[in-house]
Amino acid sequence: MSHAYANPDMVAAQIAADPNVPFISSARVLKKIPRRCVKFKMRFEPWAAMAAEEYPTEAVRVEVTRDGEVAAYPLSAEPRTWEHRYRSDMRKGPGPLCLFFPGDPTPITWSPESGNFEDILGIISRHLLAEEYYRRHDRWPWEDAPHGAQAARGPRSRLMRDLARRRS
Amino acid sequence: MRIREAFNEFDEALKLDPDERQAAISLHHKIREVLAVAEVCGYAILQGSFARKTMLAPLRDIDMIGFLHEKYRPLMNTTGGVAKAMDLMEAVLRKAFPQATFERSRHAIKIDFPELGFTFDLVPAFDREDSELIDIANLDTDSWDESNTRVLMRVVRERNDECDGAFIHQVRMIKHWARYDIEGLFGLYRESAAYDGIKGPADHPDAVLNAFRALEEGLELGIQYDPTRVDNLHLKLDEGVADEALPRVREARQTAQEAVELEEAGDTDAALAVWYSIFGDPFPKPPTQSVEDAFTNSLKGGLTTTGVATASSAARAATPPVRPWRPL
Repeated sequence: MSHAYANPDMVAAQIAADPNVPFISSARVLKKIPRRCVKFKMRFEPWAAMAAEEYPTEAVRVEVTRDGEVAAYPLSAEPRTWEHRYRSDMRKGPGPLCLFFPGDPTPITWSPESGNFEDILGIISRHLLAEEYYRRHDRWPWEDAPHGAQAARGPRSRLMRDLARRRS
Repeated sequence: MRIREAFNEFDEALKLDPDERQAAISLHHKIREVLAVAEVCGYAILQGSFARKTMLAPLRDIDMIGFLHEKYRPLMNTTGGVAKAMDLMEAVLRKAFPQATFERSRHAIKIDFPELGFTFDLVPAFDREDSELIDIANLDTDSWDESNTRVLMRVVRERNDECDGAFIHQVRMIKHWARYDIEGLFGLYRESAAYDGIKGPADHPDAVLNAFRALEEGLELGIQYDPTRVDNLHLKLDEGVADEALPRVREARQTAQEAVELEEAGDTDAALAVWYSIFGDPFPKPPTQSVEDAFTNSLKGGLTTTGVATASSAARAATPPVRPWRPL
């Protein structure tokens, strides 16, 4: 069970106050659904380089299941394009961000077993900034996985291949 | 820009304006001469942070001691002796400096030279034979208090020698930190913590980190002796200052630690950004990281507390590498 699920109020307070998580300016528990999930609302701030380019602050609903799985839903009502986000569902509304390809080698993916909650927040933070980068430059700033099954062929760039090896 | 260059530039910016400093020294000599010619004072010396060379710009208050002529020693045992001593000094100075204004405080005559922008606090005193200690005027109690100001100047000078001359520069850096935010953490308190933390030659970043450690420890324990080990300065802090200062000092110490680690890990630009976050201006502004470099560095390392992405192992926040994806 993820510590974020077990102690959501404490986790929210700690994250909001932690200078070592500079990209989150506020965090609070939105809802607790017993035995299913906890929903947080967090504000993600742009990193220094992106703040200089006036990248926006993003409000995000972060859901953590009992198993520690995490899903991130940007809350902006403004219509914007999203390169790596599940499509909207008629019933559930806009889908979560597609943060990583689960079939990638362990060192370049994330799971509740291999990484902690703060790690996935770092991944979400970068993903939000990369979406804005995509809107501005029409390309993802590093290698993303091709949509669909082609992703299973694994990383192609030297950087991601090196990272997959180095961190294993 | 390398770390050493940045600190040197910072150090230069904290120094008193050389012309202003020279003007203050010349005026001190003139005051000394006026008092000596009138046979009021045998001699006079500078004291305080100006004398110890730990004063920050801009130049404001300069402390000096006027040692009264031996013929006035009976004033030490005369009722109203302190006021008479101040009268003697003020009378000759008023004549010599008609444009100056005079005010009295517990220990000193404050002489304001409006056209110069700084003031002198002139403390009447009597020297002691065969001792570094002196007796200084106390107008409130009409008595003469023992003062070890000369000992303080000596031990700071000795510590500066032990640090190959870097100590006074490093003290100024610690005094600059949050100087307007935590005013109650007065200069001598900070200087004393630096004295405890910096004991030998050290590069500025390591010295500053050690000074923050000592400052934090003193605030935690409620003990901060001055460099002469006579006064626990913690007892002189206004109520609430220590509680306000401790979390700020702790954060500064942790951030300084991060900056040192970033430099050790080879990310100079990220280290500069962290140092800038501690000191603000006039520490040199760090180079701006490009958005592309931020993404790439974050894949290899993580983020600093200032939100700069570093490819080094000294990151504080993890941003693990992943390939975003979407099912068709």
